[in-house]
Amino acid sequence: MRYGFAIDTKRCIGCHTCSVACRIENNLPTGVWWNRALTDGGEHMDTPAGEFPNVSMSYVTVACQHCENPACVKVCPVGATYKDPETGVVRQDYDKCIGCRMCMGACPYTGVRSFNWEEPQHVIDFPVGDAEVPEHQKHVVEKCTMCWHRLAKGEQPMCVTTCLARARFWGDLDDPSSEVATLVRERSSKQLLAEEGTNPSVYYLV
Amino acid sequence: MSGTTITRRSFLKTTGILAGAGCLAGGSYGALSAFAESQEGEGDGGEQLFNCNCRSNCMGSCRLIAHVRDGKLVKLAPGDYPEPGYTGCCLKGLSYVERIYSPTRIQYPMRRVAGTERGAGEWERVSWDEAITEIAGKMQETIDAYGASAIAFDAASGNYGYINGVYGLFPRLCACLGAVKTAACYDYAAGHGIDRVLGTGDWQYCNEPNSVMDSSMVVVWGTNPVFTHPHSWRWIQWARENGTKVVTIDPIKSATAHRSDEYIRVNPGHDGYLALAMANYVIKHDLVDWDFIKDRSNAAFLVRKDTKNHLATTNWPPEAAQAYGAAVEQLTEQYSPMGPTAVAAAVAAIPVDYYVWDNATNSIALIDEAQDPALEGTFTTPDGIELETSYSLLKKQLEQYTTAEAARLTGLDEQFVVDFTERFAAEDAVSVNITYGLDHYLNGYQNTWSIAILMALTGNLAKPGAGFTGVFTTRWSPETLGLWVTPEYKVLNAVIPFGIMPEIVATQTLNGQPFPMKVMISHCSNPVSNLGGQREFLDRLLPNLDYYVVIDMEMTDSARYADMVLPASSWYEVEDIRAGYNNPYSIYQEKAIEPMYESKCDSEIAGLLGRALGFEASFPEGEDINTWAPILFSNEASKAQNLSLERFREEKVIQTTGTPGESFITGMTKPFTTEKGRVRLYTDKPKPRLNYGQDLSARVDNEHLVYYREPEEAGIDNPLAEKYPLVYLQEHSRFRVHTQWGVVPLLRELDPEPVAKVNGRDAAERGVTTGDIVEVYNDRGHCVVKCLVDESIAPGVLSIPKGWQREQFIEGGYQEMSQPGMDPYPSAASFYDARVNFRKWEG
Repeated sequence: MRYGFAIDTKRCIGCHTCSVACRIENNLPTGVWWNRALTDGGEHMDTPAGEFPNVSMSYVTVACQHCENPACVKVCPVGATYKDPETGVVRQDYDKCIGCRMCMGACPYTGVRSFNWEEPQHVIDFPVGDAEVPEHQKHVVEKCTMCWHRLAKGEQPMCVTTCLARARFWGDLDDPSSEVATLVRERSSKQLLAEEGTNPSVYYLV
Repeated sequence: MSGTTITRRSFLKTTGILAGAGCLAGGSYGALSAFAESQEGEGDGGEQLFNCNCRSNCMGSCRLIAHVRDGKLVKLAPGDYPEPGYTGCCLKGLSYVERIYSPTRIQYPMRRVAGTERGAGEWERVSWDEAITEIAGKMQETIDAYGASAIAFDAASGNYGYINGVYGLFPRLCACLGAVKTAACYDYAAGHGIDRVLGTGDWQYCNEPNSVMDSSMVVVWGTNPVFTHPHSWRWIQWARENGTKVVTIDPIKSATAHRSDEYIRVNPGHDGYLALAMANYVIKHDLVDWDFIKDRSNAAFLVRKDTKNHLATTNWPPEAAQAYGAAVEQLTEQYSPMGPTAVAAAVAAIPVDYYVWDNATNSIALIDEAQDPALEGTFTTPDGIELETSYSLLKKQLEQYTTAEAARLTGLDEQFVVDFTERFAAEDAVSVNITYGLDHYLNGYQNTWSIAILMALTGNLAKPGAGFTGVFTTRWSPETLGLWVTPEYKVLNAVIPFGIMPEIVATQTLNGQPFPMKVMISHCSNPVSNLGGQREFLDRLLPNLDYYVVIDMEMTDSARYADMVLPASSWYEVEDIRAGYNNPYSIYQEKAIEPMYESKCDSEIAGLLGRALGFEASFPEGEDINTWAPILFSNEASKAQNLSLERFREEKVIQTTGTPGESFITGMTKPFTTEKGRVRLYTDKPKPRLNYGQDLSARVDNEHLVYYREPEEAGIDNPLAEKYPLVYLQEHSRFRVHTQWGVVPLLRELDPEPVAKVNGRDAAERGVTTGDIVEVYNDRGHCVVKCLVDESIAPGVLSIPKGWQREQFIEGGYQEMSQPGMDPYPSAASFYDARVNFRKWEG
């Protein structure tokens, strides 16, 4: 079993709904985003590359790629980052993490992990989102959990449930009859930084 | 789902089931429902779930499920609609949690500290009793000194709940007092122009969003659904995946333009001319849909040269005209005790028929009796009245609009205009997706009127996939008027456009006659930040207003300048019902949590004020939705659908427009309510949206036939272009709806501050680059803001995304420079009809 995502870049409108849904569902601290909608174009959000009117702009959402060969797992000195053998989900055990940030250095996908340098801050003074989400801790590396707490309840990751453009699909890439496997098989797709050899479980349909 | 929590250990047991569920999730649009969360009752871990809905003035109206733990709202998630394609909500809907628990939320009534300037930010906390007593006292003093019409209630679009929103109970109080319920002026030009052709009133012109699945072409004209109505874009994207061509016409290469098959870049403000030149070309080159024009339009109706009205049984022959006059007189007498609305309705119900020239008999005949109605030509009645067909008049009118001039004005190549027209006319079904980009000019209604004429000539109306989309609104309306009329009713003056309030208050006159205006109450509204030409409000309205009350959740620009601020409850703190935008449903709002702090909902505040002013009969103690809902559902339209509060409480979502499984098509699902159900190539009785006594004598004769008018400032030939070379747009962003969500911390992490977006060439000419601080200015005002070089912006355009508050700028505000003027026909805000320049800010 290898849980993963197919993300249709022809449908994605870069609306940040997945990012905000993730942020609230996981009660993420101020300033922390596990999933970001990036503009593929100019230097700034929602700006294109090129000169008017010959410009181009599209979006790519980036979170932990839940790689089949995760670079982060190899470097973690304490086994805090590990790949769940049953599902292929790359997980992070906050209690084991010693905050060395080796995983952040090894991961080729910049920005998908965050480190709580200080005590996590929140605008709202009680935990929002799902009640099962573990408490965020100081000096711990965090990242997308694939909404592990939701998978446990038979639900999809929140970014998939809330995707406004119906661009996000989730399921078992190893099951040829699954929606994600079908999409990856039938559509052209790409993985981010495929040359790194990590074999991400996130496929971008192009 | 049971309330038990599943631990990591039990997860392993469930993964097998999950894999199976994954196989089922293969719906055409990604079947969300296979994984839908629990939508009612109890959720996980003892959470309570409540059925709710988002109620701002965005182009969606999302059903949301509120998750409540220990009395606190912890999460909002999309709730299902029967049609899964309408399910979903955006980042704003989800982040409303931070509006409820906003660190800057207004918590209790506050009075401006005596002796301090308005806007100085010095407030003192007062009790509700003190606040209501003071407000009621000021109102009574004003009534005693000037009459109740010196009090104005201002509501815009901050809450679409029927009980607590823009409809609500304040108009009931207003009518008891005989005060002024100002008419909102936002976005009315689009519908006014289309109404000239379709007779669809202010709002009922669009087809249901799913109709684009039947369109061969979607033209997104002057709007950016990818940012501002992603729910509609979703259907356009699906249509595109099925082979529908998507074309975007816009001065900006918007996110929508980037995702379209074709982008047509035009100069701002001249779209109406383009549509008219296309219409002229369609006629000249015989690309007209003759079946549609003959059977579904008033092309053959004869126009009297003497009166410019259609030859009809109301005016010809003289015996019929006399009989009609007598019937009007009798009904007027019969219905006048019930008021002018009742009289108008009774008169409108008198059957009227229209004459054409029958080629078969070479004589005048009623339209339904003619065998071969003449579409073109001039004729004369036996008693000598000169006549011409509506189509002939339109054809002549359009002759002046050339593809060459369209090309000059819009910046397109003439050959492209020709080619595009031919392609447009050859399509099977064109949907023009339109919200309010074209609307926001002084010639806004002429822009949409022109497009509606083009749609009529090419037969792109009233058939599957054809017509307008973008602003699909409910065709069911509850009895809101019944909420407003009580035995204590005096009068409800609802015809004064809010956009002329600065002029009224500054001069204390209306149309040159004395009109004292002293007290204003804003609810569901932030006029300081939303009204074009902000300094009109700040410099002319405010200093001449005795007392200003604002009811809101946040210290908006308006609240900051108030004398008294009252804390409003959020949508999730009170029971309500709303009708959908861009879906066919009406949605129930459960009270998910108790009102925060000392906040109260609008209906309760109206009740407190009503009783303080002596209207106990109209506002009985203890009133709530149980009092008001039976009135709302008392009309025939509601009874026909068996609607009741109980049914909403039980079913949560009810389809109140159209038929499940079908797509509502304007003019097809239900016939047009125009004369003989035909679309108008010639408008017999053009009327202003609001009749507040304005002088239209110089205009009225020219309003029967569509025409082009230069925009006020934005046009390429405008002499102001020398001083102010950039047209000033305030594009709408993903992150705000008007000014709502403007201070949500989570959204400000993504979109932290206002920026002035300009093309690189315009920036370079001024020695400016991204990150520099610039002053954007014109004769009306200025703002100081960070510059962003953005190559999606055409040279000659400057855009500051809408909705920021003044305190978010280094100086000034984005709305200072926008256009305050309005055309007196639609009485609609014309924000974009403005020019500016910018320069590096030296501090």
